[in-house]
Amino acid sequence: MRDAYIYDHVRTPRGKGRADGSLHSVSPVNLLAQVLESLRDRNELDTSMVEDVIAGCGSPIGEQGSAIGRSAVLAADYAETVPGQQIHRYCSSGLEAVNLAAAKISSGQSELVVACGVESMSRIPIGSSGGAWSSDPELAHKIHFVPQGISADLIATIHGFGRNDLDQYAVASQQRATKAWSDGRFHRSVTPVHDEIGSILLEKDEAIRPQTDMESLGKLPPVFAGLGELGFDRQAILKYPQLESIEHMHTAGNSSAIVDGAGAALIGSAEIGEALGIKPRARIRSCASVGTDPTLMLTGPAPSARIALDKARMGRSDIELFELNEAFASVVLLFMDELDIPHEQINVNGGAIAMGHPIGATGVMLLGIALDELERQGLGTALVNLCVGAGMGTATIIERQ
Amino acid sequence: MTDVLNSASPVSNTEFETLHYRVTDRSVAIVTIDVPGRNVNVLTPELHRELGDVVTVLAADESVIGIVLCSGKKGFIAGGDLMRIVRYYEMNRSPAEAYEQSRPFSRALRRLETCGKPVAVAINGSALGGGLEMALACHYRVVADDEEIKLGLPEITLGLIPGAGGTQRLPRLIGLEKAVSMILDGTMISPDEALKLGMIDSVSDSGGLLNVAENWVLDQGMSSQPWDRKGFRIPGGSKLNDMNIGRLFQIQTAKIGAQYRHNYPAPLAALRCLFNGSTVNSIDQGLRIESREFSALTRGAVARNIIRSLFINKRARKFRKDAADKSLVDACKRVYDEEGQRMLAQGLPPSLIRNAAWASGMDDAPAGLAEAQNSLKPMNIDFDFETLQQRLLAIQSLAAAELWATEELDPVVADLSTLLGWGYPSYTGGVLSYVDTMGLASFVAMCDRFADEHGEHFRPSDILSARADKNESIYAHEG
Repeated sequence: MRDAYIYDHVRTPRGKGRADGSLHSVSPVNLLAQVLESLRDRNELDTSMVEDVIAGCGSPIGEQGSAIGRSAVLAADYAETVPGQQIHRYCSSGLEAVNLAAAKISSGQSELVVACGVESMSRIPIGSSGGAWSSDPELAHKIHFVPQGISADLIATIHGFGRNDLDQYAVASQQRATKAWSDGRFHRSVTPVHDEIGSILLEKDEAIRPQTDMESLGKLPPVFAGLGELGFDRQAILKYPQLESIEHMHTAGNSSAIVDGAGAALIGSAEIGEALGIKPRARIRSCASVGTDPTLMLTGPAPSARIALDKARMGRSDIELFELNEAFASVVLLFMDELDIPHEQINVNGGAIAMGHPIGATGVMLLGIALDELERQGLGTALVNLCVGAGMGTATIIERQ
Repeated sequence: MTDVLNSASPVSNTEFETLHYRVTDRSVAIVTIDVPGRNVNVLTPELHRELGDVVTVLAADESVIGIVLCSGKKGFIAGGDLMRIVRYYEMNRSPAEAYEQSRPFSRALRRLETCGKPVAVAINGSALGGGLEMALACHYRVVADDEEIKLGLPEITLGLIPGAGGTQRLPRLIGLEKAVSMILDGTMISPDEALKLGMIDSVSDSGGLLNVAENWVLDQGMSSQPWDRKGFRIPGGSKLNDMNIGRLFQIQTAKIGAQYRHNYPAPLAALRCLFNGSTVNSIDQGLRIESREFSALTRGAVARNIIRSLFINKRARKFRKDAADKSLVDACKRVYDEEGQRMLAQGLPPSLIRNAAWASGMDDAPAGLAEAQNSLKPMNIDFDFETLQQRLLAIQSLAAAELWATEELDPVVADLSTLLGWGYPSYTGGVLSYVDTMGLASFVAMCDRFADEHGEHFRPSDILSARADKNESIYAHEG
């Protein structure tokens, strides 16, 4: 098998995922097309060389439905010979797009693929596409389906994380994201989103709250206690009967923000880089996805990380930088415990708690953020991963070139 | 007040036994349901068959322009024949056999609503279960203006689901959200409430019921159901591309999980019928889905247990809570509390024991757990949750079985006492039905295994073991 390389990455800034969010007036296909255009223009790419555009999307329905990858190809005026598709693995869709692109390259079936992702959560609310996992009574009953926030609270309860632990983590995320922006760490990869008449709608992540402190977070009510009372808590307890109850500690402040955004990465072989005269920025060392208990749901990061490390014949100590999606604070705290990761080594520029989690796009955004940070710090290796709905985890290990 | 209905004596004499009909001078056939030898109309296999047959006869009769269904008794239709459900269980039918036996009434009602002529029903008394299902298959429903009348689908309380179209027609009539709540809760409502819900078309004084129904046939006379017309959509939406529908099923699934603790198959079967049946675009497919689910429930022990104990035996004995065998209840409570303490002594956290009691369906946790503290790391404890639940129920059933083995205990009294006078869970049918369902020999073998693993207090006596060896059973079975 040959290596797959990351040649470039761009992302939109993330707009608040609601009706007064700056990106709400932009259709998802337009959002995705703008990152494809940016990727093309900054690499002076002959798009006819692109052999696939794989787009991750978490709610592939309505205007995000039906192979939005191909729709974006046409919207962005890529060569019409470029095919496009859409893939779905809940929150890791964007990273899975990268991993599938890497697999296409490594297998020799493709030379150049765009891996991307998009989510306009303000226009297509999370959960819009339904799904048997959560809503078919037979399956939901059998697997003790609970909403993700309940799973996050369940993790916190089981592992003894307190509200303070979660809020402290969240404050750090806000501070780190604020500092990363003020230091210009994201400038290389964030491409402003324009409206129909060419004006800039948004050029900076919009959901960050720099003033966040323990006091302001402490005032927020737990979000999932009400849902828990409807029956979800008892469904979870039937599976984890050692617990007296589930302590609901996740709030809007220590969970990922709802946002709109898109991101893309250019993945290719060494040969295509030489042919096109572009330099690889990182090599993809390994990829992994894995299933875990669907009720606890969000514990996939550590197992997927371990599989990816094994596949790369690497150990935990070979990884210098970690980027794990901040879906909920407890997910990151658990991962840090499980892999013995100091806070200084993970999510060093903040994460989704501050900047938001545009479901289908987040994975590819995290990949780019990790890559930029490796270059900034002059480090070698990074592990990117996400917890995933229905009990999964997805990981990718990259090495700077 | 039944004079009007009784005066509908058959002009056209027929070969029917459970019903008869006459044709009015305005060419409307009045079909009167009057099951012989019963105070109330019960849905028997004969009535199922004859209902289908009379529809065939009237559909072919060119002198008949429409049909009015009514009851020849003081009430309307009381529901299904519960003894039959118990017998069905004991017949140990194959899935295919059970399915076929669940079809005739459903098919007869489908034939009724597609017979090509308008069908109205005049409901003079409570219509519950199959009675309401029959009404739902008519094109027009008028109910007597009487607050005593109850309308509903209470099958869930029997451990069953509506099996003759109730789970398919009700959501198509009033929308999924309201139908889910009526069917899952077994809610019974008054005629006025039913009118507000859109479940019936009209309320009339009881004397004028037949006239209202006949007038509707003559004046409006719609001979098809909304769901058989082109472009029909379930009011309020269906299918998971509607987020509200997804949320409805998510929450209802969690609700029944918490309420029934995965011990009762019927609520989930009802939800499956409502979910799958509202997703298919053909009510015929929906009716088959429902029949499959219903037939599976009639093969399972839970419906038999609930019906045998809480309906048939309770009524037969006129058993009330205060008639509970107190010494038996005390014995059950004692061994149950002791088993809780043993689990504590085995190092199990009290939260786990409480949850095992809860999951087993017991009303209360064993006494004496409150003082105990959870150990620091409950997640590191090794346990089999199902075994814990079985231990908490089996230790009580063993105490009762030992009393039974020495001829001191009537199983019916034991079951009803533990269900009504103590919090033994209803899906078991009671403390001895629990044993009966498992089979005495299997129960004794399980207790022997528990004795080996958890202590001699689980060891069955020689007398009980001997009766198990002789393959005796606690309840007589018709085989």
